[in-house]
Amino acid sequence: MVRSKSTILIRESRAGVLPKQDLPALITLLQESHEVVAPTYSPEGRCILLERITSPRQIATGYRDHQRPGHYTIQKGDGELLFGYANGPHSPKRFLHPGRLTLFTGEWNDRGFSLSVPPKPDRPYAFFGIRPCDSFGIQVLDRTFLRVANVDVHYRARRAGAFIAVVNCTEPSEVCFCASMGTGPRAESGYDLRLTEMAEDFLVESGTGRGAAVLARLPARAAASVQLAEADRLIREAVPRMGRTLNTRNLPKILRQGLEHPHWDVMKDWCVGCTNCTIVCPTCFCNDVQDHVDLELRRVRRDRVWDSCFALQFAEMRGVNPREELKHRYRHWCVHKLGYWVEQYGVFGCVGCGRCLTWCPVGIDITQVAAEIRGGRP
Amino acid sequence: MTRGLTSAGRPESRAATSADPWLLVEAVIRDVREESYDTRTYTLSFKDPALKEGYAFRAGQYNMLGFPGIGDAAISISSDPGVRTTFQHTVRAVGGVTMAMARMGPGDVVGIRGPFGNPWPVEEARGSDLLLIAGGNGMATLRSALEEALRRRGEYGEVTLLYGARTPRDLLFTADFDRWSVQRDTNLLLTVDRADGEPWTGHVGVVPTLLDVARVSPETSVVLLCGPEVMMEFTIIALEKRGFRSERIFLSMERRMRCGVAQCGHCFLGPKFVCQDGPVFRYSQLNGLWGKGV
Repeated sequence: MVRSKSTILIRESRAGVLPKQDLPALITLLQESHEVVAPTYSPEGRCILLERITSPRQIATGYRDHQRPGHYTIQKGDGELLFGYANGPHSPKRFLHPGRLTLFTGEWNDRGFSLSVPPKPDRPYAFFGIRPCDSFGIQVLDRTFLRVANVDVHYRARRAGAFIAVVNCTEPSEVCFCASMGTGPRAESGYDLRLTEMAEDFLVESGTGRGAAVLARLPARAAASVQLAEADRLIREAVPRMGRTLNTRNLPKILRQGLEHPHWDVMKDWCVGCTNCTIVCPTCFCNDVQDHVDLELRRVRRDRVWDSCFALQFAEMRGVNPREELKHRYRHWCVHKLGYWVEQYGVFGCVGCGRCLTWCPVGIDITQVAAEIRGGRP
Repeated sequence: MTRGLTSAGRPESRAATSADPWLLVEAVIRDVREESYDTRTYTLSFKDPALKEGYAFRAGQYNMLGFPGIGDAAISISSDPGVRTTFQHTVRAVGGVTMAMARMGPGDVVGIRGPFGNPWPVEEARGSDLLLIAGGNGMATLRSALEEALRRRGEYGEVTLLYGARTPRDLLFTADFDRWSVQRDTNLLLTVDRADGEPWTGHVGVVPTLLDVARVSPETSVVLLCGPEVMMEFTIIALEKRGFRSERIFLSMERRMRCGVAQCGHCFLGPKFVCQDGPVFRYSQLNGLWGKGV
């Protein structure tokens, strides 16, 4: 491919071609007004983690992962692709709906109590390098925390102004099934910029005015139809290479009618109730509150922490537990993700990211469970 | 209470206490009435004058009541929604928050956020007979509906309350019984599971057995039911046997509630957020969702 040394500023076009070595320019632009979050490589965890970064050099590039139910390994690849790896355990949930968040602090005085809400984060987030399933996952979380009458001020403070720069998927993993859930491998909504990695360049497309403004300042040249076609081909070819499929046709109804299906009994001796799936899920929102008080019984704090419907005490009331058996807790989670969620929010609670398969210590595969309840092949 | 719609078309209630539904707001205990050895009714009003005047709720709704530093618990409102500037909670001391509440007296400050939840169908039931069936503490939320119905007495036909407790000592609102039963066409039938050595000359037996002695008509009644889940289960069986239709039976469900605004997940009953879609449900809405580890 011939590349001109001089770059053309793109003002009108919604698509540009950015040489791979110029990717740091995008990160620098985002850093002007955002806290940038990007995939990084964790040597301790030996996996990809989403972290706040201060330099483009911290972004994980050139890795190849191998995932299957209950299994994750990663190593440096052949150097051809920067983003040839799929999701690690972290999703943007970790930043928008943190695992521990202070809802209020305050103190008791002689007349009563006064409370205050912690300040908002200084700068909005920019999520760089998240995948289409995760940008869709943010839209799913929005439906829980940004509903008309009950906007969660803490979620909104983190979500407002967030810039989303997605990298479309060309190298899906064995646990991926976003194509089945309609969330990928190409981001169709909910992004400011979407990038597609080609041999030597990124195709960069804007989805919002903010995205277009950033694109206009990048050292990118206008995209030609041949490059648009190439990016399109790479994304389309990813679809049949996904390791999993899930037939969603009539699925909410099938699951609801299948609450007594014998396959749920299999979970009794399989699922260990570790809660990993709910922790890594980009849309699982369940949480609990913990009140704290100092030794003088004056200063107080209330924190919101992630909780999980797999925890034995989750639904317990004064010793009565509506879902005492593990099989009921697994069934509740699975039917919520793939059934009840649609009744509640109009979308599935599963985006097909595959994390719950990979990080399940016993390798339970939600696509297989759904297929069993359906009573046929996935 | 303002109402909006979600994308999936569910009605939502917004807390009157604060735009941030997590913020507890100060309310002052004005009066405490002993109901039983472990249960008291607290009359409360908000400290903030504007909120005190503006706060409104509907029968069947609940507040999250508690103390910053300890926690809060979902407690139904037990008073007449028509009484403004004060409201009542009837609280049994059983857990951390309610035990702390039991140590409070007039003048003390408690935290409130709410009101939350779907109310009793007092509007829909206009023109019908009302059959209220309460077991144990379930009487608290039904008292709110009963007080409203009695205040608007002309809008309803016969009003019948079937109320059962474990023992005579467990009966709540005994101070209200005379006032309730002197009303025209209003019947109050009490039962206890066992007299337990107390002087008791009334009916003995579980709540559904009161249906054998009550004169109620399935065709003209709307049923409001609240009590322990097993009591509601058997009461519904008894009602259906007598020809009551599931569309005309309303019940208030209890699940663990932590947030009140359908954002914490603890109260799920299948796809229902009991905290917001309920606690009051039409029984026909719950078909297939009950008693199966759902």
